[in-house]
Amino acid sequence: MNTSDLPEHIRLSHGGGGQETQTLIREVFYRSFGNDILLQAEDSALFHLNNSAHIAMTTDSYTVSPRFFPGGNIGKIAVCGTCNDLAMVGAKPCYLSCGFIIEEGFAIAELRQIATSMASELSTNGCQLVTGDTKVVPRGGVDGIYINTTAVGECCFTPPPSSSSLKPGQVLLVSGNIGSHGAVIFCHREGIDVDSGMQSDCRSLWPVVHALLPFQREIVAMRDATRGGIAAVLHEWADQSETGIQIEASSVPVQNEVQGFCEMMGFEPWHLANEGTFVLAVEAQAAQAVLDILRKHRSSAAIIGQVIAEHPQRVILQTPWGTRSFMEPPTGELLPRIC
Amino acid sequence: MTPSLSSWRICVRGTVQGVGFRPFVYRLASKNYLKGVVYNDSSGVVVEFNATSLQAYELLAHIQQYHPPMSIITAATLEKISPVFFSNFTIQHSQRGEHPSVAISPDTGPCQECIDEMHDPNDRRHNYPFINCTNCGPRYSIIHSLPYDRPNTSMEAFTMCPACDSEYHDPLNRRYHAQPISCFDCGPQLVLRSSSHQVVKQNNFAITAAAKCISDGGILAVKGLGGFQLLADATNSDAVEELRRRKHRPAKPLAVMFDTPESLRAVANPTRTELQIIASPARPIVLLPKNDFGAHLLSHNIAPGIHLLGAMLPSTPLHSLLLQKLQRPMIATSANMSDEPIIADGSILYQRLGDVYDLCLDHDRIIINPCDDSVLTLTNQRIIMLRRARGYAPTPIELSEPLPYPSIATGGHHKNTVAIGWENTAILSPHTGDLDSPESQQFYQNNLASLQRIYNFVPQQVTTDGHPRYYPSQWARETQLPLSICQHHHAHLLATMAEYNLQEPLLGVAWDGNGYGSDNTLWGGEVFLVKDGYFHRQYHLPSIALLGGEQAIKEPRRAALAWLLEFIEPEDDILSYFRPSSLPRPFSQQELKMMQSMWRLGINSPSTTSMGRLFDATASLMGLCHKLQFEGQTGLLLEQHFCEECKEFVSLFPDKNGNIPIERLLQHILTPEMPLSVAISCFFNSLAKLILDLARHHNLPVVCSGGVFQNRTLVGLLDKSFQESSHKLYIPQMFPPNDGALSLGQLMNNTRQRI
Ligand SMILES: [Fe+3]
Ligand SMILES: [Mg+2]
Ligand SMILES: [Zn+2]
Ligand SMILES: [Zn+2]
Repeated sequence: MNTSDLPEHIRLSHGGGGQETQTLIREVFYRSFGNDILLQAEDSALFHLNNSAHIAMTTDSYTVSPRFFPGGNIGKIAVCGTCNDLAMVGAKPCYLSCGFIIEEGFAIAELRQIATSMASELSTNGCQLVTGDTKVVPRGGVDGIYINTTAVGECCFTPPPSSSSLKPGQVLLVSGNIGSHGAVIFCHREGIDVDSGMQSDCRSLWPVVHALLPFQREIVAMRDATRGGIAAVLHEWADQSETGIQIEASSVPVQNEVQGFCEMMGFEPWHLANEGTFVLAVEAQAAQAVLDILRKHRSSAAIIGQVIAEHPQRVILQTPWGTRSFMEPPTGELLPRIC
Repeated sequence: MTPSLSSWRICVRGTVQGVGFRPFVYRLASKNYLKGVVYNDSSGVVVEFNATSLQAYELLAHIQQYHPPMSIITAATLEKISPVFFSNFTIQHSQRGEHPSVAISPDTGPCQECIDEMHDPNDRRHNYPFINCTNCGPRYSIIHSLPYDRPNTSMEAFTMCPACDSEYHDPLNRRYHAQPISCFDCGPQLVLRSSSHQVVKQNNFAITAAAKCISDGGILAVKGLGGFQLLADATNSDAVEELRRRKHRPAKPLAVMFDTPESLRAVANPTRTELQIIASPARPIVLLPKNDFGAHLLSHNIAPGIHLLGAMLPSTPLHSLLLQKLQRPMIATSANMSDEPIIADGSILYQRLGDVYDLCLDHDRIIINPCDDSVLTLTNQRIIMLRRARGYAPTPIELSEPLPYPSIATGGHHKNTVAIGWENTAILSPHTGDLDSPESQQFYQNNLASLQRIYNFVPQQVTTDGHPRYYPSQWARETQLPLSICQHHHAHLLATMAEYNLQEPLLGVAWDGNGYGSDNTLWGGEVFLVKDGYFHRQYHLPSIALLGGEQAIKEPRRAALAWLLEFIEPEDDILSYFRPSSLPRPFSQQELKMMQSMWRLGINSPSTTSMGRLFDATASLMGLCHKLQFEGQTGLLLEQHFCEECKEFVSLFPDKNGNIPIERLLQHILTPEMPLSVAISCFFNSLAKLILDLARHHNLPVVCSGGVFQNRTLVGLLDKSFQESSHKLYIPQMFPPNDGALSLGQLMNNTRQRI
């Protein structure tokens, strides 16, 4: 690899989560920091400390705009998002650190509100905020408030779920309606008003993952479908496992309002971000039992498809009347093909 | 005293093998007491013989005039050769290892002689569903490889009985060397299967039970020449409704098969040309205007709201036998889902469509190369090919300029065809369909593999479209062959230039839905000056936003709104611009607000200069259609309101930047007081007038291509207005103006360096 894959300066797209982000990480950070744990490139790092149990650790920064939206705010996301990354490797979030970067002039009342929802989300996870940092920067230095959180947790799943070992015959589930966070944020950010009662799915996943503990051996992989939606997760799994994935389009749970929003905008719900919805790959015999547990937490949870041997590295959508098409990976704008 | 004899050679090129050409020459020569030999070689058929010069020229003329119905002669030459001695006239058989660069024939419907025999109770093939001869029957669909001999076809599985064998070997018999012949004793076997794939009837009992299934209102799947079709009683609305429900095809028009031209005449008034084409060996589906009786005799839900009827005659003897028992017309639609490729294997049909049909009439003659029905329409005497498949493809095309190396052209993503070409020959595959599904992408690959296998073809280069999301573009990159890109609309025009052998300079009008442009936006309303190997993008429609990407193509209301937002005052009541009609309002207030935000912020709104979207917008503004039920619906709806007497038009002559001032036309036809038919006639008149104005301005011949030229009204108007002028007009006839001919244009792109 040579560094000519990088331009001279950081672009916005380097933070987009796509190919350019990967290149930046590989060419700059892996070169400086590369070690066995980091190079596993998982959302959470897994390691031992002396004779302790397996420990999981992850970090994330939050710059979400708008800061308050139906179903959550930047503080709630800052706790859920980081704790969810731990939950997805089967780890119980235990301790959290938090850094605030706040713009001069920010309302104290708003900061209180943010802290309150963080506290309530921490208690849902049974997690404590044990250390923190606060910086205030002059007006214009940041847009309101940025939050960084780091969480440390204890691994409860043996073996930990892994995304590169899907096998044909395994069943795919989703923990609830997809796309609502993406749809809500999109409408608020672009000033499109939909008086429809759409709500972000923003929530903590440890409680439901905890309930899934009895099936830790049958659960092959779990991933919260944040940026790029479930399409990003499914493509990544198909890619890494070199299997095909077949999704029953009509089984994918989507709230009516979100479906309507997608039809109007020409989007697909599987490309929209979630903040508390995850995809699971499980052994077929456990699928129904896992679904039952998921449904106790969210009634919209569903079995959406299966891993297949054909069409390796591709995700196929089956329509109710038997036609099949390919699920597009999450890329930018989908230029129409119809002539 | 007889004049002195010389030795001569006639070479015939074209579709001349496997169509009874050699026995035809044999009979002609024998009748004239000529001695010599006829044989196939790599370029066609060769006749060497002794004759006077008068006899030699006569033989050439007879060959050209009376050649067998399935043959197509592209060139025939006569030359004197050094003297050879012949003791009689003989047919020399194909030698293995000949380079198979000759054309194979497309499949054809039964000829009259075979139909007559089939209806003759004294004939040994009375009611035989697989009857055929040198002049008719399956060809391309059963060929595995060339040369076209029985062992290289799926008839290989059936050993001829002594009776068939003697016909096959008798040069004076019309079944001499007809590869697919058979009879009750030695041919394929019919079976009737239940919807759970159990055999319930066999042989001709199966036909009787199958016909009963249709007359009882059931849905029958039947294995036709190129694949399976679904049949239902065309006079039974409940049966048609059920077929629509099971096939998930709520509104798209269905084709109807008639027993004879007479029964067709009961519901439509076809012209002589239309009848000739319907009854031609290719047996295409022809879209014809219905007559008043059609509305009463046929079920109302065959083509709801559409003035045209897709009509066809039996494409196989089996269909003919079914119709004879049924005694009324039947729906015949491809057995597939939406625009997926046709299904050719009974067990795959069972897996994919087991819940769609009640019974399935299957047989054991394997379809090696599946091939859908062809569809065309006519305006005046002119053919507009809509889908080129069974009966027309894969006929070879003679290119005026040679290809520098053997090439593959991939075609587009929808209405796909592929082409292979070498030297001056291009072969275009039959229509594949849309390449959205794993099945259709596999079909695409099989189609190419078949052509390569049949023609023993090794490509050195591949040409494809510039669209980054077309499946064929991705496939082309994976071949690792040297790759060239041919812009979508250049390909449209080059295909038409190939059809008519046109030379530059000329004016190219490329009006269609959307194609990837050289500036990375979507084009579709372009006029090019084609000169010195270059396509100069001279004029185009103004860009509008496709609000919601592909959604904007499915919903004409979005194109209408985008046009309105481009040119009306923002404080105006936008919905008031839509002509009131029986349709629900085009938008709710909330939808309107969302669309306006999308437009303002440019969210998922790629821009396009598409003429197809202008047709959509107009249909929506006129209150005819806000959401498409099937592709091409807006063009059909607009056609129905065109009035020939109305001469009103708006001048659309482009400004100095090349923009076609469409807003002028829209503003004019949006006048609320204007009668609907005047507004719509004005729309068509103005577009036709624009093309004529540009032809005059540049004083050049005009070549038109792109999906918009499937519109009968526009094409008819252009024909008429150009007839009255001195300018030449070329609109595709034998190839579809839509993306079905892209692959031919892509091949043509290699005959010369173009930009
Ligand atoms: Fe096109
Ligand atoms: Mg993280
Ligand atoms: Zn015949
Ligand atoms: Zn026989």
